[in-house]
Amino acid sequence: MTDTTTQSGPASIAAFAARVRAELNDLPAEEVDELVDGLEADLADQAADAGEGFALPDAVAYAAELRAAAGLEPRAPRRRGGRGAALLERWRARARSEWERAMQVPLVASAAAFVASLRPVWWLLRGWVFFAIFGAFLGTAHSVVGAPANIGAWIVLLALIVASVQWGRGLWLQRRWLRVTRSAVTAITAVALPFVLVDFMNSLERAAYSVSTTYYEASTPGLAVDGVRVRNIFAYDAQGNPLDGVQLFDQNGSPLNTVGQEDSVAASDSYFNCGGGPVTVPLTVAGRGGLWNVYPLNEVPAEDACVDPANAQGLAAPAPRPYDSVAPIGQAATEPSAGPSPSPSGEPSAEPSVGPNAGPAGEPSPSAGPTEAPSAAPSATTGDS
Amino acid sequence: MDTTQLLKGALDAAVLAVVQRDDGYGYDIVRRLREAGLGEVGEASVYGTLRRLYSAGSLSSYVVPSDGGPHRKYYAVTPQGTASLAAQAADWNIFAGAMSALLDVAGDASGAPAKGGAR
Repeated sequence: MTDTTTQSGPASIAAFAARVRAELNDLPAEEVDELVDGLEADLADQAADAGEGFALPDAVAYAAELRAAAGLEPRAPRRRGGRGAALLERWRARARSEWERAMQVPLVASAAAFVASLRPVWWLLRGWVFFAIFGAFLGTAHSVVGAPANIGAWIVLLALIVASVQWGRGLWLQRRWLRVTRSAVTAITAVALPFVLVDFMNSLERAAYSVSTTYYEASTPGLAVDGVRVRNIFAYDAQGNPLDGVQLFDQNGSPLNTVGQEDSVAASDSYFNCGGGPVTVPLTVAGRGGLWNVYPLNEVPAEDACVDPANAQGLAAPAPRPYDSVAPIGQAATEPSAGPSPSPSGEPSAEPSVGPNAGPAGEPSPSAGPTEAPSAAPSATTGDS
Repeated sequence: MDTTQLLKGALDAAVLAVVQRDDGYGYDIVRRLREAGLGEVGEASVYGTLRRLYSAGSLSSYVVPSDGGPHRKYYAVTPQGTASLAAQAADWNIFAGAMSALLDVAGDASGAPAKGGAR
């Protein structure tokens, strides 16, 4: 529409001013007043200057020029929709002008610039949060929320992060459905972010706790196999006969204790005391203190009650062996000869545990000869000191 | 050359310079800009610029009642506007100097294949 009229009367100037105002009606009323205030007077001056040749400009172009020079947004294209859309538009304009006013404050402006520079962090978070939700739905979740459980999950996470960052950079949005998806994902992740973060922290804490628990169990003092404490050790020779007074050392030459380094001076095994089963005591030799590496250790058969370490040695008796004897090394290992012997005497059973027909290798092979007993065996008088 | 394009970048400085010489109201400032030789300046551009400079704190305004006519809103330059103008003037001088030097060289080159001066 071309509003270039040749009339220059006050009435046409007023009409022109009204049209300009109408073009600016998406702005806050205050802003419009500031922009258009004095317009009529200015135009009247201009008309007086120009005289006969004065022509009013196009109101739409004039308003657009006014906006551009004032640093305001161009008018948004008129939307379909009625009063609601207009109200929304007005509300947006109000919010925009409030925002611009707030940005005049240097502190607000620098804070806003700081936050704006963190946008890439949000892009990463958006990808990750979506992955965390996604993983929870698929049920392939790691024990730590949002942590990829396998290589496939890593690939999915990577793809989501790449997509999120590309969206953040304004890419991968050519199609309308992509923009709709972007908006939906952004809304969902923004709402879910605090919950996912809280879940993440909690699951991290649980994981850290279970790691520390494992560590604690692994560091239980004393001799353990697969995390289970060894209480006593029973040795049998190559022929399968039980041995007493066997001294054990580790690869460093240190005595092999069941109780561990810290408890090696204790009078009884504190780990099993008070309900843990029989309590072992070291072999005591005059002048050498307790020897914890001479097996089998004597035990106080206290299943539930506590043992006073001071009296433990007096209560201790030879430990019942798990087997009276075992198969000679050369023989095919089948069942040992007997279950735990009820008698604490631990007499070696005379007869071979397995019949001669059990295997061809009846005799001990040379390689499985008797192990050399430590020459400096202490007096193996197990029992009371 | 389209001077309206050139004017776009320099309008803030031009308006500030005019107002610094003397306070003025909207159309008065347009008139003085035109008298100064900027004939193609659009009124709406000047009014919008005034509004923006006012919002940014470079200009202050006061209303002067007039007998028999409408009230006039006069603009004056604030200390911040003065500082802004000084900075823009410095920038302009550097820019204008560089452009002049470039255009002089171009003029020389088109006039004659002179190699003098490069010694």
